[in-house]
Amino acid sequence: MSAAAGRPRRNRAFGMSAESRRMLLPMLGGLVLAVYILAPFCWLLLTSFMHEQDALSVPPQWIPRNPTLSNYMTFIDPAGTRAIVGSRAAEQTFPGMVNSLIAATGTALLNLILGTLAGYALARFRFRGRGSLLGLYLGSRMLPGIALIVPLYLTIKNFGLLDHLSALVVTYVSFTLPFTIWLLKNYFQTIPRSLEEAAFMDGASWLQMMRRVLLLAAMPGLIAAGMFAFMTAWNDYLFAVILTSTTAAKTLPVVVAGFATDVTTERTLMATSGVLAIIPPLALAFMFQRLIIQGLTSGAVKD
Amino acid sequence: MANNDDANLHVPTHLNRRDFLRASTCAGLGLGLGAAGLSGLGRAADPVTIGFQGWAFEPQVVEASVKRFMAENPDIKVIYTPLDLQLYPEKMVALFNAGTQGDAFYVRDTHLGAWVEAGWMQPIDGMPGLAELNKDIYPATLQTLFYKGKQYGVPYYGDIYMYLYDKTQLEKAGVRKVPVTLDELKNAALEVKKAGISQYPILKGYKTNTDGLDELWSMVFASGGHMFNAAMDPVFPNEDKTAVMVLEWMLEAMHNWKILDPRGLEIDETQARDIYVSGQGTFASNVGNVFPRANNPALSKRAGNIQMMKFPGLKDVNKGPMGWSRLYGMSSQTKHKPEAWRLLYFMGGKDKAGTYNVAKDWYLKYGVGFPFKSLETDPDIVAAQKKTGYDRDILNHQLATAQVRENVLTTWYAEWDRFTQQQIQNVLLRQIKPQEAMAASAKKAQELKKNA
Amino acid sequence: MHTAGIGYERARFAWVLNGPALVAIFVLAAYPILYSAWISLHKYNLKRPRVFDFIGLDNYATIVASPEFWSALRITMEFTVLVVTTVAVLGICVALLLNLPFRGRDLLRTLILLPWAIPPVVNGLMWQWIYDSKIGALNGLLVSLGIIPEYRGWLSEPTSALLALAFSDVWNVLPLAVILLLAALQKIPAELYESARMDGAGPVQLFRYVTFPWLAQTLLVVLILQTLSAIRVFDVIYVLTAGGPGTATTTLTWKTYLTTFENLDFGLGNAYAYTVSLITFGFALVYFRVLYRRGDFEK
Repeated sequence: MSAAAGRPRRNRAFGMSAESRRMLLPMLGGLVLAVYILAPFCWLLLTSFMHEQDALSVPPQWIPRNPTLSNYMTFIDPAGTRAIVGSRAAEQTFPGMVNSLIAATGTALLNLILGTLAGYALARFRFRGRGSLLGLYLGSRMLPGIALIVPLYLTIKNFGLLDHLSALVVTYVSFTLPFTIWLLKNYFQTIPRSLEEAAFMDGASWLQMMRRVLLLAAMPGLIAAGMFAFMTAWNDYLFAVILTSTTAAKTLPVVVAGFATDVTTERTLMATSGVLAIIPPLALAFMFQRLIIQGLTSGAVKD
Repeated sequence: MANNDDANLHVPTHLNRRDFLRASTCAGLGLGLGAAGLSGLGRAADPVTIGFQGWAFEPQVVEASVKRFMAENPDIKVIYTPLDLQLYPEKMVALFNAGTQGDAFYVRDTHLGAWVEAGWMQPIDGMPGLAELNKDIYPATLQTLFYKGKQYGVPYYGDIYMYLYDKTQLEKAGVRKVPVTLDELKNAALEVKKAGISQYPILKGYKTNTDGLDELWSMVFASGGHMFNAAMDPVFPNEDKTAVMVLEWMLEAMHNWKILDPRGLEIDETQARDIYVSGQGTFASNVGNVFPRANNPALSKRAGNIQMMKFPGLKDVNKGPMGWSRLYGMSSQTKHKPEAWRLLYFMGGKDKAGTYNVAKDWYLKYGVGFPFKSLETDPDIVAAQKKTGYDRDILNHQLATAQVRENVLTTWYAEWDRFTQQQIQNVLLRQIKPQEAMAASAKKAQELKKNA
Repeated sequence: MHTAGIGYERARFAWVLNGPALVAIFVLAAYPILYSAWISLHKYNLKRPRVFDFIGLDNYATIVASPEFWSALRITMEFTVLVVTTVAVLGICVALLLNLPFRGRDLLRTLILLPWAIPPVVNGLMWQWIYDSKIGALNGLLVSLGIIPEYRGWLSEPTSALLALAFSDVWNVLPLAVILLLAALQKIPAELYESARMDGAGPVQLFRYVTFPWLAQTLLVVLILQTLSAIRVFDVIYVLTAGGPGTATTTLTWKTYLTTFENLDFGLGNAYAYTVSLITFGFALVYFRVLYRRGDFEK
């Protein structure tokens, strides 16, 4: 039907445009992915809206028969509803969340600053000891955390930082920095030098070049590295439990684990705290998602 | 008071928060006492500050007890820090290594030997009031407070392992007599299964846990058997065949008679408890404080139906199950022994009025076992027990005849316990036979003893 | 091609840039690493704290001679290979998917972080409830769909316990792999695809000749990170299986934990830790050898 050729959107099948059809397969894939991500979590979510006995019923109640907000209320008003059981842990959840946020953000920021500096050096300069330096960084991460607990505790105690958030930040930075450096080095290497050279030729100082050119171009990598550092800090349980003891510094995983005591495990409360625990990182991720897209269109590598 | 004002002024800039809090509260208290002193009470001493740590089981109750202690003893300030329950021993190890442990702390009986050998605790023999206290403690519990002849703690709680059954289900199945021996238990369970009431009438969790051989020990004791002699050498599997026979019974129960649920391999005691109170299973063995929970209508779907029976053994020899305890102990590094002792005496003994304040509180609130014989006749406790539905004759019998795990005080108990649990799991997975498993366990015990 | 030669100032500048990172890492890491090595060469059990004999490599000899070590090693290898392979393959697939334009992609890019945002402790508990043999959601689902006749104990059999553990760990760590790979994918210049397509390359060849070389470096990072993480898995084992049933899920890290903290044998425990480090290092070497030279796109 050559007479009709050249007219746009002519090729509709099933009422969809060609563009939409091309999206079909990926969307299906996306659906499968979404189910994979959400399904296990759904169970947590559902449990948080149930009463304790219902949570233990067989067969499981896919739709809670007696949905309740009382679990969430316990966190908002700990002294109110479940006074005896779990009240202490409920009181500690919000401070715990704040502590986790501070520790994780601090870790991420320090990682980005120190990591960018070191990563740039390793990416751009060839100097003697470059390979060994990278090897040294990574080598520091070979020993499992379990072996580090006691000497780390001693070190922190000697610095007088026990039960301090700064102890956690410093510890987390020492774990995550080697990988951040490595990640950023790789990422910087994929950005053509021509961008930097152009900036230098315009008379920019090193710092100005970084700010105006490199960091923008490396934004997706920076976001990824920052998220890695943030999440590692956010999720840590072992070191947090050993290095902290009071609400002054207890982070969220420690508080949540506290819900499982010897005699009074309250699954519904734990589920609720689990749900609450993911809100901050998800919110941050949503915000940074946009930045990745922006970074892509602005600092793009189109010569 | 001059010296307390000093405490307020000389705060170094890098004190961590806790020290600062401690310093300023000391100063605050000091000033308050100073005022009292001026009003004619005489020159009171500076409050001594002691640190107290325990695992976080209902820490608000502990805090309330600590407050009562401080009210009775205004010259002592206690800083109580509840530590995470899951990693309590690990955390304490770190604290001990760094020297930041408290003056008094909780200890599990399974760790007592190890912690004493490591030099972390000091004996409390001869402290004021201790001898009196000891006279009233159950023999099984009392045994767990001693290591190599010296006493290292006062009891936090003492409890026994219990065997429970659902009386309404037994009635429905037409079982007239409550089983006493393992053989009778098998028959009763088969009746329940035949009546279609329960696919697997016996519920037990076998997941590896710190301290998970309670049922094995209880069945061996109830059968009149032994596992270790006085020299801590294993008498199983050959000299004393009880343990092997009990294990064989378990194996048959799971795979031959099909009365013991094989999925028990993945659940621990707490999960088993939750499942039991939600209505599954007819028989179960678990820690003593599960009984009041099972009969509490707010927490259990089968409240009022649960009763305890004598822990079953191969034969009926009138012996009880295993009992254990948790202690309050004193740090070997404490600079305030008399004050730490007073705290221990209050928490693990009597208050100024001479009542077992803390023990009673724990029992009435959470069913946590009390360690003192005289509390058996305490009216509040009797009333609570009647309300919970205990068969008090059976309960008192089991408490009186309970025995302590023979090698629990060795420094290698925890490792042997875990190894043996794995052997039992392998038996129930049908990978090895009971005789082999117990032989491996005995060999391990001998190795550990030799290396200790 | 880099511009100037190695000027002394440039090298010094490079060291200056690395300075703060070096301080941050080694002030805190050096002491524990050295302390651990030192202790591993001694006989030191906290239950006998006065005994602190130098015994050289005896602890290591004990480890190599014990069947428990080899069992733990085998299980660790099985677990690690399973998890890392699954994460690498799934990670690439998901990253490719999220690189395509389609509606709802941005939402998915945010959602992918969900499993990662759940602290491992909570993750372990969540999976425990899902796998529960009496009241678990997995059993409930499979039975109601008619796939299995009755509730199963997923964690009470050795093989399924390991698989269940692996699955829950993969779920928890996949997001990291996806983000890293996605960030790398977005750096691939579109012209490369264009010119390859014009040469007649199909999707498979596009992947093999364009995408994969670009991803090689990042894949290296992902593999190492995931291997490290898989070898060290602790929280999930602690909650789900405690090393059981029997010793079916007792990995080297779990053994290290038990030796150090339950048995209080610091000498042997630290030796285990160093053994784990050596194995990890071995993996890293292999990865580097295979992937390092490929795709070094220094321009």
